Amino acid sequence: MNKEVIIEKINNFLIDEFEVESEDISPEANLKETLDLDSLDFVDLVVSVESNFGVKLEGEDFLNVVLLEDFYNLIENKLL
Amino acid sequence: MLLDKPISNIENLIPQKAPFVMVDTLLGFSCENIISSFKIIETNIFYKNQTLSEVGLIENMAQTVALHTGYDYFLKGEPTPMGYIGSIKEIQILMLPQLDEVIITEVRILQEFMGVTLVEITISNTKKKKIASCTMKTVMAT
Repeated sequence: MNKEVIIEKINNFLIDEFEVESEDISPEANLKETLDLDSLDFVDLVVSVESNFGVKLEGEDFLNVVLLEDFYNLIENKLL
Repeated sequence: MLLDKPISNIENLIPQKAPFVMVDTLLGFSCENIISSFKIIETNIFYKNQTLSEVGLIENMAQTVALHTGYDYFLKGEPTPMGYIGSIKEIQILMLPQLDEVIITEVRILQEFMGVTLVEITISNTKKKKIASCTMKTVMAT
């Protein structure tokens, strides 16, 4: 799966499942603020990633994830 | 998944204490599932108008999740941890169980992440008629 497809799939579930407006989505956007995530919501993000990409995220995976770009890269690396 | 022998002495497996205990028997257990049962008695603190109230049902759901964690820790030789309800979604309560009725509560673990457990819960009666369901997030106290 190339990065463009990964980004498109991620953006689609952010819009559909997290009610993010498409205009708020950009690689430079802050993930936590854009999705309005609290500590309970991260589990929903993990569920979405697992159902869309078949990969399981762990807590430490998010240590360096600040921007949406970081999140795209995380999923891309998990799929390698 | 069903245990060879149901476990009825479950009070050491959950953090709640009488009269706030809303599960009485562990029927089945695996990493991703648990099944409990609970008989509705007149002295239950959530017994009102000949039925177990909605609050009692929700507490039964949460305590069944706690029982999963407690039994898992028991098998590992560790003490029962504390936890609390983080959120409840998509709750449906179709009927309220009546006096002497036994309810069966089945929990399916959908995801665990950083101390937050996302579960799907269904309560039914012994005739397999659905009583209630929801998805719930529970949080382990640290």
